Amino acid sequence: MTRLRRAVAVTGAALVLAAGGCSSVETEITPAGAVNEIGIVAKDAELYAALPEGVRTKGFIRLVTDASYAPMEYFSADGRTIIGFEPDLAAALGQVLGIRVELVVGVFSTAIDEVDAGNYDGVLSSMTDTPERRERADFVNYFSTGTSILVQRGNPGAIEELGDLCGHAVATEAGTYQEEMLKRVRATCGTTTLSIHSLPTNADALVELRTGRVAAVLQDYPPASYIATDAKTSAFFQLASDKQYEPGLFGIAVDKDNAALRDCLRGALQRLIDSGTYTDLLARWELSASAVTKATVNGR
Amino acid sequence: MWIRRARPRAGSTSRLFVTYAVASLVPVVALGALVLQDYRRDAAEQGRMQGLSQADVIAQMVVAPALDSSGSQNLGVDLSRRGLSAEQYDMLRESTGLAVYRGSVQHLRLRGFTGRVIFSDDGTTSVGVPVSDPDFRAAAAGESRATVITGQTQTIRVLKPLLAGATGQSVGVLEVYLPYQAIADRRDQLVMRTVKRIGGGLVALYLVLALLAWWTTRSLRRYAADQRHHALHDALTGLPNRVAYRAWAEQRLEQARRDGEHGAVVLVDLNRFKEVNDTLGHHAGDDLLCQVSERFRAGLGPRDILARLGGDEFALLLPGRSGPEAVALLEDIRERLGAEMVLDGVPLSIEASFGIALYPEHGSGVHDLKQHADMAMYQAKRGTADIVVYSGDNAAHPHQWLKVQAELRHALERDELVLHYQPKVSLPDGEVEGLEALVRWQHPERGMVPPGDFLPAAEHSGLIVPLTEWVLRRALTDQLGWTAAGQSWAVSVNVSARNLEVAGFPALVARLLAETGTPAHRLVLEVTETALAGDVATVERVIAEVAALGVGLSIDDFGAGFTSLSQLRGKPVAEIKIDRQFVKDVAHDPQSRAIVRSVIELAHGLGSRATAEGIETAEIYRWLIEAGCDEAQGYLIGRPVPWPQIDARRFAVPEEEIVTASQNVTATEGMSR
Repeated sequence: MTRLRRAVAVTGAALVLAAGGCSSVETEITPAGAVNEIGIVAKDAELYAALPEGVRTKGFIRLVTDASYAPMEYFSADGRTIIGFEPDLAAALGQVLGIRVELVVGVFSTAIDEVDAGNYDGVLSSMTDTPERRERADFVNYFSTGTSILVQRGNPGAIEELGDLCGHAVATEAGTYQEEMLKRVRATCGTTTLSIHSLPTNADALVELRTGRVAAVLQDYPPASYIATDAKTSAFFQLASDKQYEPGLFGIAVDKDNAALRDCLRGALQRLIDSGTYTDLLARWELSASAVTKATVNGR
Repeated sequence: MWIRRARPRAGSTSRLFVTYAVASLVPVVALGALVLQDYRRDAAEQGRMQGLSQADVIAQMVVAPALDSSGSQNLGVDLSRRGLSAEQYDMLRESTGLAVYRGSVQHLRLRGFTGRVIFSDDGTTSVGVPVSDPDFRAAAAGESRATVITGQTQTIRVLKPLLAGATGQSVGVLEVYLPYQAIADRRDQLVMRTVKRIGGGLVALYLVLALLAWWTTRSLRRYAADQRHHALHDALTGLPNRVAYRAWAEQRLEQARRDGEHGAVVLVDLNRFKEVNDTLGHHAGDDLLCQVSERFRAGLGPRDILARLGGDEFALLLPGRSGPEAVALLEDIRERLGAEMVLDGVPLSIEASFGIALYPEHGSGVHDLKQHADMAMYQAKRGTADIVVYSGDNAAHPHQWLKVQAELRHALERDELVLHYQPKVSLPDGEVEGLEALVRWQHPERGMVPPGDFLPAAEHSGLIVPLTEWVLRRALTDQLGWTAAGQSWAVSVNVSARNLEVAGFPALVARLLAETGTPAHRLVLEVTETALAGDVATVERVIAEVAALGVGLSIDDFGAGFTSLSQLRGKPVAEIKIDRQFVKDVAHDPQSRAIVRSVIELAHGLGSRATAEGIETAEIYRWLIEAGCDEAQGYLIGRPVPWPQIDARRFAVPEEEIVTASQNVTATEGMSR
């Protein structure tokens, strides 16, 4: 080996050592919520300590979800695994808090009832944070979006905006914010009637639209956009317009009596936002437009 | 006789055919198997696909609505935990009952992920696929599986995830048994039909291939056999050729050496075959050879080998025959050959010379034996006996011809040859009319060599042409000598058939005549009648040109050869010389007399002179005068001598019989032409 080569090799080794030194320093200061060197979101000991005693003892919390809302939460091909942005977010929150956050399939319209009854710790199911719901639960806001009108490809009912829904049958998932919206629209229809089909899941609503029993489905923009662009379904569905109605926040519903858990979840979400992990998760599901800048509770 | 058709061993060709057949069978069978296997697999796959889609329809149209009927209640993790509501159960029974009754579905079960039977068409809960079954586990993991089960009847068993509603959530496993017998039967029928068609086609294809292989191997076999036969046999007679003879003779002699067997090697040469060829044409020559071969065959035993070495030369190998036995056999053959045969309407009899070498007495190798047989044959050709057994190296031999030819070439250069002249007198006055030039060889070591010892060698090589030129030149020069001495004798020179075939011959004659200043009529060219039958067009043209010079043309040895009289027609013949074999008998043989008389008359009729040769007695001389012969030549009148010794006086017939000639001398003289 020549002298020159030896010199280069020594220099390279020194550089490697230097870099290793730097990263080890960074590891020590990996902020909670950020992804550490082995791809795990760092735990926040403070937040863990702040968790309710029972949760820490169990080591997990269970959140109800209705997995019929791609890409937010839906069943994978095996029919059993729930995938989507919200399962990812739930996992990340669990890692920050140092516990498991499990998603349990449930009925959307009765989800808050289940939480009230103490069966589950909360709801993570693209649930819009509304004043009415705040009376029964607190919401940790993690997502911002509006409502869209989904119609059959070709838009046979010529529906452009909410007002056009009058005189048609429209489907939506029972218990959703969209169901409330439809009721308000119906009130403005006057002599013409607006028939509202409230169905157990969003998928059932889509079946109604696909088979022509309703002229439109009202749902949040992300799943509506997803279904109108996905290769398997885009041949049958399209958005009536690009417009999003009544934009608002999604929130994790937590029992009003469980402020500790609520605050811990908000803290964990804030860590994820601060560390950039939250943005990364959104980007994975092409939902970056719906990001919130700050973790809030009940919009504050 | 031992003529074997060369045939390749049947084993090797049938092995080739079997190889072909097997080699073409392999791809045909492989193709058939491949097609069949593919077809079966496709059919089975089709059956499974059909089962899956049928199960899909059942799942979506029968099972899912029943489970969905009670709205949100079905949502949950696992049917095994929750079971069915009474309403769902009733609805499922209702919707599946008719299909089971009709036989469209054999069995339908809803299973939880733990394997628990949630619903069964016949109400039993202890049946169904074990949870450990790979198909069940695959269905629990979201994958649909269809399997054809062959029991008493064929059934398709489908295991697929049980999707409760539109959300795509799997709540258990659907286990459906669909009747497959009818489909399988139909499929088998199709497969069978395809097998028959493809199989039939392949069998036909194979048969064609096998036929081609058979045909090809047969053609190859025949071709090879033909090639071998051609290589070893003479195309004309079908006899083994020189190569085959040598091979077989070597084999036989080797065997004879081992076994101590004796036998004979015989070489046969047909006499005057060339004359037949020249006179009657090659076609007749070929015909002759074929007939001769047949006659040979007829005379030979089963172990004897006959071969044609080339031309008119045949060879025999007679294993197990002693000298006398071989001679006896050959005498029989000679007799057969001698029987009259008609070629192109000309009747003739064939003579042959046989040379015999015996083994092991005369050698054990093919080469030696053949050489010795050759010597014996040459002796037979020269001598009086046709069949000669080899008796040592005493005979002049064709192999010495090469030596003779070389020496003769030197002789021409060194002027060792001399010309003797025999006078020819006119009848009846006995005046010398002309001299016939006869060549002699004064060999420095061997003394005077008789013409019989070197003329055949010269004739066989091209040496006869310069020799004749030399004779012609010397004769004309000598003529100048006797002309200067006051004699006006013409000179006769013997010309070979070969000379007549040389295009420049007339010009040579003209030039020599001009050089010596000799008038053309004082030169006579003697030609044997067979020479006239050579290359007819050339010979005729040469003769015409020579005659045009004014040179006389003489037909030598008339009556001895195969001339047809038509060949005389139109030729400018000045002289016909009657062959001595007729002349010598005229004294006592009335038939010879008749012939000689006829020839004389013929000569006169053609406007030619008639000359008699070989006159040895005064009786003959006188008879010839009486018969009207024009000229005479013979020992009685004068032997060949150098020209100065010619007795120029008029020949007077002696009163007393003078016997000066012996048969031998006559014979030698005969060769001297």
